Amino acid sequence: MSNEKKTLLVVKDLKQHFPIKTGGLLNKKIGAIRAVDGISFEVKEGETLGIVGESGCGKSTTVRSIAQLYRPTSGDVIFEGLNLCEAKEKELVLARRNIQMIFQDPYASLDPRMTVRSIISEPLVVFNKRGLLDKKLTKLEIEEEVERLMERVGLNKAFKNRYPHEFSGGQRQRIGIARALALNPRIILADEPVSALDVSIQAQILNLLNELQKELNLTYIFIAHDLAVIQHISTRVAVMYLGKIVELADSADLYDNPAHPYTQALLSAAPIPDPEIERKRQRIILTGDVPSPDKIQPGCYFQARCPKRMPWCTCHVPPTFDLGNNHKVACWLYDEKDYSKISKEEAQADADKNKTEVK
Amino acid sequence: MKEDIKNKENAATNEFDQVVVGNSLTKDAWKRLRKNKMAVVGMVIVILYALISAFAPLLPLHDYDEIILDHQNLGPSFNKTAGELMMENKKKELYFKAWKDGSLVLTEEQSALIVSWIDESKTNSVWNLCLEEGEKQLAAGTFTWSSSDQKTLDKLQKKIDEDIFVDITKIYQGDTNLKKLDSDSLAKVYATMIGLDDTTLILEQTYKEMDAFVFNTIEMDADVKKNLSDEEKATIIDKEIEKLGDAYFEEKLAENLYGKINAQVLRDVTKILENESEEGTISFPYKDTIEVDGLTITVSSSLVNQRHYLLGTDYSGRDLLSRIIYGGQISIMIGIIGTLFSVFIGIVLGALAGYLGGKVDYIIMRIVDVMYGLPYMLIVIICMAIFGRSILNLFIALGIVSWLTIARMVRGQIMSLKNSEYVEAARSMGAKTWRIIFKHMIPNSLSIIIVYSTLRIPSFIMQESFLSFLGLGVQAPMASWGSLISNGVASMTIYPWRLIFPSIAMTLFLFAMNFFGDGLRDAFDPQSKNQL
Ligand SMILES: Nc1ncnc2c1ncn2[C@@H]1O[C@H](COP(=O)(O)OP(=O)(O)OP(=O)(O)O)[C@@H](O)[C@H]1O
Ligand code: SF4
Ligand SMILES: [Mg+2]
Repeated sequence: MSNEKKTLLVVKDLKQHFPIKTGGLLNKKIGAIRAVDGISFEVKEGETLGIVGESGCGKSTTVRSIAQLYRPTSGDVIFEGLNLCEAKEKELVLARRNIQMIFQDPYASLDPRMTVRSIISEPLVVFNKRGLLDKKLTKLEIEEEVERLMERVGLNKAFKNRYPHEFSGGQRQRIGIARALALNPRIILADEPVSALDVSIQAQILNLLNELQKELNLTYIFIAHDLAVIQHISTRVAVMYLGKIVELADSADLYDNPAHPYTQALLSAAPIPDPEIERKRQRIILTGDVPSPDKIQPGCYFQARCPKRMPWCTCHVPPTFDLGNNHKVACWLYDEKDYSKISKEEAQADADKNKTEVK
Repeated sequence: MKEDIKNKENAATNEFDQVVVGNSLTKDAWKRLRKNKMAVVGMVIVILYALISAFAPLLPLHDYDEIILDHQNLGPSFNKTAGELMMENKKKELYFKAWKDGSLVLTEEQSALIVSWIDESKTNSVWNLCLEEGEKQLAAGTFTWSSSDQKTLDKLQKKIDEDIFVDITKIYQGDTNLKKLDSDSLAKVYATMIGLDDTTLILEQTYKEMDAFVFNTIEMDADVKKNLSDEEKATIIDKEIEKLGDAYFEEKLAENLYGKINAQVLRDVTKILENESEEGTISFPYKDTIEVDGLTITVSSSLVNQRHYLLGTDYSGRDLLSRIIYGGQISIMIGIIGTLFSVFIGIVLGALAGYLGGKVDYIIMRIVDVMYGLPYMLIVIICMAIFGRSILNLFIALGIVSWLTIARMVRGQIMSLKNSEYVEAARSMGAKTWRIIFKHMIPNSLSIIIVYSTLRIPSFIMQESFLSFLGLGVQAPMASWGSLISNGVASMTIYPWRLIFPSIAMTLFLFAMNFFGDGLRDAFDPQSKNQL
């Protein structure tokens, strides 16, 4: 279905490592947090890519790197043919017009010292001042645009002289959405836009985002850790674990046939509205801790908690296997070869052999 | 916008169609501040102090640096004049002397009491008792002054009645103000005044004085200076005068001559007024112009002993009320300027450290740490000792040691704001660094800076007072609360008002400022308990 559509954004082997430093004058680098560790995906025009994963797995870092709030350590982010990671300041600013963000915390993402009007008009004012808009806007035109945006996201335009603290969380998130829409972007990176809100208001905001998408042909990258929310809004879903994408599939496909053991565990933990099924089903309980993201693992990053771990997994990093139907998964269970019979020693010997070959 | 509010259709309404009036954070803060009674009282007091200090020259005060030796250490009084107080003091002294001679006879108990008070050095009680008893006995006729004492008292009374204080405000020759004349014309005026035909003598004398003045200002080793020969002296002086420039020299010369004329005029006018007052032809306070030696002089004059000192006087007979007000001016100024100075340094360095991070941050913050470790007052005292005692040095010394806290605070604030989502939002829409700093970071840190500054002012005043108390602060004849208090402490048992009034003035201000600052802090904190 999405095959006919144009590819808007390509992320290739994106890495974002935050150096751990000693601090002090010498400030030696003693390691790195591998917050995002080599992820690749494509986003097609008009679709919604959901990203799920537990806290700290690098979801926010991914979108911030795409938006170039952090300069990625390596890898490419290609938006409409322009590689943002190598783009010059000017090109980047122009591209920013098309890539806007909605933030998780509606309380922290709005400057408490600014009126709603100045918050929503800020992107316009910034671009207007730099002369990057198609034509220079007058104050009045900006004013009108602000009013139009406020009405579009369901805010009373009479509130434009108010300060953010006078609004409820849902209203604030609407302000944030209006700000993101101001420059008429092509793609919106939404970093958990609803997780700070009440459930009833979550639905309102999700519906608003849906409407806007249809109306303005927007593309979303949508982060959430609530699987129900992701299912509701996304066309495709990427599951992240420890800075890597472990499974990427169309939304319906992922929910029906989760392939990766991590995804299976996540889905088994999500409540099901039908009490009959809810009672009968088996939960997969994950044990163990998430390993620290500052170490390079020799094998599968999920092995410490994986219920289906094989000896082979402890020393071989799984590549991405295509299951057909756009379903990709990074797990040795899906290779053609059956690894379950291979003993620990054999696996280790194979890994050592590979290492020396590389050397 | 304004039209919206006027136009009800466009006004903000809630779901019940009620118009909702918006409010800004500042307005909100103001509302919260108003609810805090103590803070409001504090604010009113602070404003009052500020007004009094600012408009001190317009108030009917005696000059704060006018020394009247007859008025030393007069007590505070609402209704008694300085003369009456002088008389009272004299009588206390004389009655006490009379008691010691035995001419004033007191009861056994009273005498015993006096002896014990003397042992405890309760001077005031002794005097008051002697005065009280003496007056009683004088009225009853059981005590009379000895003739010498009576003479002293009469003389004092005469002095009190007749002493006049003359203030020359302006001297005119025809239509020209003497202040505007050049040295030659002034010399001529002076010559005619003292009955000389030509000005050579006067100019010679003045030049000599000028030479001495210039020589005094030259900075040089004292021993070397003393042992210079006359010729050497002359060449050094000439050189210095050349360096100072003709205009400056002329100005000083004119000043010198004007001073001479002024002194002469003062003498003449005082004589005239004294005569007239003896004849009873003028009444005081007197304000008029008088013609002397062809000059028109604007004079104001009063009977100096008719003055009222509400808060008493100090050891040189200066009005304490006026000194407290002018001292407050200086103390408050030190508080404000010192705060501005330290806040400025603190903001610049703190913002640099916070925004740039990395090595700059590390170096600045280590300097701060080291300076925190050093004994703060010691640095100030050393600075004052090295650079000399002047108000400017005081500001600088206090400023360089007191930017530390604000720098840390601003750094923390900027660092946390740097990672805040709204700054990220601004960056993601392509805002430039300066826009982020000026539109987002500074407005968001301003309230804590303002609050901190208001809390900082009292601590500066305290520090200045402490330094003045140690004798390192402002110098007489200037006053500050600290120097007044330190002067007062020296004689606090005998002249307690000299300690009490400045202390009250200062304490009240510090209290008010602290309450006001606390109120501001709560008001600017939207999460404070004092919610609307
Ligand atoms: N600026 C930074 N400097 C150093 N480490 C960082 C930085 N930002 C994130 N990290 C680390 O990178 C990892 C991923 O963080 P990230 O915020 O992307 O997680 P997340 O998936 O968004 O989690 P959550 O669901 O809680 O928002 C975490 O271990 C975090 O500590
Ligand atoms: S590769 Fe092995 S350890 Fe990793 S998820 Fe698959 S089965 Fe589990
Ligand atoms: Mg996050």
